[in-house]
Amino acid sequence: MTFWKSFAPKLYISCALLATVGCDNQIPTAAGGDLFPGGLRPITVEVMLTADQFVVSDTAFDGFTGAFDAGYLLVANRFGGEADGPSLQAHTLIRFTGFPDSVAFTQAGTQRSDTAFAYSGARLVLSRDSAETRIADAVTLRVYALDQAWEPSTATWFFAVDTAGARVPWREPGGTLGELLAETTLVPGDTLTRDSVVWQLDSAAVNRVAREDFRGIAITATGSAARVQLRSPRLRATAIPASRPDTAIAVNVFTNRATFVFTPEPPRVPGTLTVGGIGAARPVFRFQLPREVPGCSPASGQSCAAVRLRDVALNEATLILEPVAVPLAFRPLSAIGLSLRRVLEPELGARAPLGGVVAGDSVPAERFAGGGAPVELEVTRFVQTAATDSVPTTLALLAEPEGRNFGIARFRGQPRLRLVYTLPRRPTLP
Amino acid sequence: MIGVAKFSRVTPALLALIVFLPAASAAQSLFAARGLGLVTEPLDARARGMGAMRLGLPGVELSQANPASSAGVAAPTLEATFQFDDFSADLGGRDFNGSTARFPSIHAVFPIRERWAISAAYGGLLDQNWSVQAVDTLLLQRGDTLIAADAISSRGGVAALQLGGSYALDGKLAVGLAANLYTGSVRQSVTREFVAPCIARGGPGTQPGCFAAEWTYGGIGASAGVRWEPSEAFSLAVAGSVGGTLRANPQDSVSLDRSYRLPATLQAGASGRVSQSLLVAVNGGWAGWASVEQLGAGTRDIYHAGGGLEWDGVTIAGRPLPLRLGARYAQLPFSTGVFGADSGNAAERALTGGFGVRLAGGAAILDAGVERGRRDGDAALSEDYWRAILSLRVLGR
Repeated sequence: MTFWKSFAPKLYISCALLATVGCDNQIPTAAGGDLFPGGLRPITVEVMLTADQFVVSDTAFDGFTGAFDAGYLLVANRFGGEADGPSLQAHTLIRFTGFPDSVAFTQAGTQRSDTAFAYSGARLVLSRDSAETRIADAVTLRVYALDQAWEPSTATWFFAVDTAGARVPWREPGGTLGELLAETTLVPGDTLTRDSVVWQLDSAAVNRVAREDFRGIAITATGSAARVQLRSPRLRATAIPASRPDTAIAVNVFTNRATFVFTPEPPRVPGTLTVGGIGAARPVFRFQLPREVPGCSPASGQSCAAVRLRDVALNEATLILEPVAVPLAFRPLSAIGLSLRRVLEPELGARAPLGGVVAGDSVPAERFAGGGAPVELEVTRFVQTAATDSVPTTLALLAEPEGRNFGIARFRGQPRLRLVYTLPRRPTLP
Repeated sequence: MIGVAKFSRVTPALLALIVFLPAASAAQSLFAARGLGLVTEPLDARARGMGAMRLGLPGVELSQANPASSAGVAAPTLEATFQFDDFSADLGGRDFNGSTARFPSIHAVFPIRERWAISAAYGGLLDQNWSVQAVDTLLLQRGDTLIAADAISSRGGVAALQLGGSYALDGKLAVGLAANLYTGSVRQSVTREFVAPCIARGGPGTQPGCFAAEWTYGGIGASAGVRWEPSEAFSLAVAGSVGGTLRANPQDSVSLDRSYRLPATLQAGASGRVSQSLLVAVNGGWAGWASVEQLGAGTRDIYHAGGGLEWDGVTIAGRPLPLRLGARYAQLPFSTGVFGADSGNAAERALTGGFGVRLAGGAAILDAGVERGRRDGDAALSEDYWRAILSLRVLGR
């Protein structure tokens, strides 16, 4: 009995274990397409929807950004004109502020400052973005003093000030140029200066630039066709205090009062979608997917009943954009990041907030040179959700980060939507 | 009642095992793709080893075919059976292999007073586990190719929860009645998954497609049986059942419900002790599967027969070690299945064997069985299989 008392629980547990261990973990499987029950073999269909089948409406907005907040500066001379396209001219305008009122130095172990000092010279340095720079042959970059007041945040090629209340034209389009302060020459393949462009300013020039009433400088290009993209202007000056004429003190001056002006504006081409550029152009679409799709491949030539889009298994959905050639003057010189984002509250128009990214891709610049391969944005998850939603969804196509690329992407105005889906197969009992 | 009290602590757990464990039917054959599935038999290892003796063995036996078989049980008894199958199939010249582990039966009996006994059992009835796979290559308009891996699968089956009672009229005759509650579910799915080659598109962006439907089963049937033992050397049993209606209720709003009239069955078995250590047993039966009209002309009534020997002339450490040998034949009721090339009547034939060991002074019995069989017939599908069965029976005292 004692033995049974100790043994019985073990037997009970053994029974339970027997029962739980004996669980099915594999099913008999046959292989072969001909063994599939009739009518249940999956069939996948590929269809190409044209814009009129899924785009309810479209519009476009731009002007979200400008040259002042672009994050880069541009200098161009007849760029793109040799290709029989528009010829881009661009000048960089900079106003340096923040010159010190005094200079500090150490004398006999004591820190001293002197408000009486003069600059003996300076180096004007700008970083060069090599990926966004094109130089056909030697090009000379000249620094001029500007001879007219201007507003950095609103200046354009034709207007020194362009605000709602006041519009002041340049006496000379592109910036009224005064005295030539310095110049430097760039040649293709120049590795000496690496990623910086440097101008040497003499004493007279830098002392003039440091005056409070100085209107600023303009950087222009002459010589061969060129486009040079610059950023981060800074002045590295040398100051000589009057009380210590044997001492040279380095003074660094930075500025954020810089912009560029250019002409012409990117041409508008009817029937195309323009994305990105200096104004962060964005086309906006209102999507409404069809309720039904073909029940067989259109390429087969068979006639068959349509099926509801929400009943099929959507395997892949791709938005196809056909690139259109962009004139060299406005063509991207490096890859453009395209994003398709939801537009929240589309009734707000250009002010509508943007939602999450639906799809995105980095598009090589050569796609916009003519004859480029289509750009395909995968929107499978979006279409799977939209297929069950009767309310249209609004999407915007952007080049991100917006305004950071002078080049524009351009596509044919009629995007297409490719759907790959598997027809519904409902198993039944006998 | 003393026996029931001793089991009272574990009874709830055991009943939970019976109720909440998945359907006892589990994959064991491609014939599961025919009709309502592969008909399975909830037999323990002793019955298997003697040629699938469903009823007719002497004394108390735990048989789901004959509710009267448990009459006269002296102590609470619990038996669980574990089964391992390994099969190789041939379908039109193509070979497929598989192996599964499952439990075909769990059975508990409780004596009440001297003559009554109640029982609860859970065993498989229909195995509906099967799958077909294929690979295809799709050419897209853009020139890419997608490799599609297709599969259609069915997972599930029908099991029966049997609640019964038996009464020993005297020392020779016993009767029994049971209600069979059919339970289970089946999920069928059609899937297409895409495998993208390294150089082509269609990788993470190409989503699979899956369509599935699920049904739950329910139904009630009844069984009745008689056991007659005019002497210690002879035992005869007869039992029958009515299947009732098996209802398949869809778990979605699109699939259709189904109902199937399960067959009536009639079985008989007998055993006799020809010598002190040799027992001979035979049994046979009929099931009226042709009544399942929804399956069309491809469904037939079936017969089965089997028998075997049990010899307990061997002892180890003073304990008898019964050895068993048997053979059986059973027709399969469904002649058409989902595989396009598979149709035609088929039957099972098998040689069986086994042995038993008494443990803990007889408080537990461990039986082991083995079966080597073949399923074939007019169909293009044939299978050879090995089966190993293990049963553990525990007696409360």
